[in-house]
Amino acid sequence: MNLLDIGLQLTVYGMGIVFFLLAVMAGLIALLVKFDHAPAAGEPEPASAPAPAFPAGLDADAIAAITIAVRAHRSVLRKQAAPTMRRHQPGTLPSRWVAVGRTRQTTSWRTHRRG
Amino acid sequence: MNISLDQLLRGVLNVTPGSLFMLAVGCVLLYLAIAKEYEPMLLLPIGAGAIFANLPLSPMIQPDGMLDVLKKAGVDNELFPLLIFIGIGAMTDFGPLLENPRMMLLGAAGQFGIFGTLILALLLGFNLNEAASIGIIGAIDGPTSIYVSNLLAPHLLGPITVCAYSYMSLVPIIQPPIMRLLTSKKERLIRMPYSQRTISRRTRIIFPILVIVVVGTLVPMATPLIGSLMLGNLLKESGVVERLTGASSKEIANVVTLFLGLAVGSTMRADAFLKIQTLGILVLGILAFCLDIAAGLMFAKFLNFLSGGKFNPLIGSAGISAFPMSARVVQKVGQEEDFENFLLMHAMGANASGQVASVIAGGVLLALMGAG
Repeated sequence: MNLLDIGLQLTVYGMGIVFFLLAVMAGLIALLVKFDHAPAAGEPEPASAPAPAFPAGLDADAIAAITIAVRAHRSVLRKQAAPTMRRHQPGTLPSRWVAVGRTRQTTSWRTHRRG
Repeated sequence: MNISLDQLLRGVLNVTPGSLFMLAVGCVLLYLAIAKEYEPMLLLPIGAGAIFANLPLSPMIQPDGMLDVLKKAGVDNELFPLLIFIGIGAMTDFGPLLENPRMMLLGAAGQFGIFGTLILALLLGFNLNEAASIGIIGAIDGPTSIYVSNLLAPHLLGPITVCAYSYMSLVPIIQPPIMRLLTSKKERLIRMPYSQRTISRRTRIIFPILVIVVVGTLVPMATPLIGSLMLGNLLKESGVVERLTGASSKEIANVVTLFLGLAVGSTMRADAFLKIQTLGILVLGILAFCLDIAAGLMFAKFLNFLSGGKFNPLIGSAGISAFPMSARVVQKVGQEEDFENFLLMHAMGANASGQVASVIAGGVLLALMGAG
């Protein structure tokens, strides 16, 4: 049997197995999602835990304001700590690969034009 | 004590035209990484590794040199690609795929480039193991390419890895022309309604376990690849090991990426790299990418025919492993025709499927080749 025949056989078997496996997975996932669906809108919500007690003298609005202030303060500290050459805030990139890809797609297909 | 001039100039005297050329190749890789930002995480260490390996009498590639140690520690035994897969799994959200499981089939179609390129490589005179290793570039998945080619044709590891990573960064350039060529304007305008389903936490946790058990049982050779990918995803979705998830997707992935890049770069020595074969691999690599995208599109056109014109074929081109770049390209091209057409979430499902499918296809190829 020549190499080309072997290559064709590998293609038929390989693609066949890949399709079969993924079709099986698709079926199993569809079943899984069907039988283990999250509560849809309108369905009764499970009994929730009692609302947390606020510290004395603080209501929900005050807690929210403090949370926002703390986040803003941390953001300022991060910016101050970052070198001026940095393009992104430290800690904001789960993956540079993903970030670069996203930036490219949302701007232009063409390569950089400098100058 | 006699110190001869030859001894002092040993480095200069051992410079060869081949090593000079490979130093230039290393510099080109550094340029692509730094100036063009083509997969800089991998191409920069690979370029540096290539330079280290081609400096005259480089102690770094001698037995027990740093690059030799890294290669033995993580490339020869396939450890590094698997550790990277744990990180990828921890970063990947399979939600869009769980919301729309039929997109799984598009991921399968997007693997045709592997086998199509295998046949082309055989026609060009590569032997079967080499052809399979070149074909795996069509997985459009760096770690899978490294894993498979290291098992089947370790002497081609350098060019195959460079191909896989550098072309992957070109997906936004390669994909749109093929999409426009193989689809009509009418097909590109097809709108697909999207209704978001809430996927329960339990389903998200069961999914990786299910994939590991099913794929691991049916194709044992795929277990290391799919197991690592899904382990990372399980860490993420379990929600109870935030530190491990963070470490896998950040610290471990970053450190291993550096080590892997340097080790792969060290295989790009002039005597192994400067062959006519390398040129063939570079050409076949880009063909593999094109075949993947084209096959995905054609399969989606078939689905469109079956559904009576309700399936936008552009989504088929996202059935590859370049996640989430490929899905975003689909959205962009779709929006060029109809600004209010929202294909992104469908394409994300196909793209997540491509991620799983490429890993499975790598395992299937190894099983068919009788490797391991």
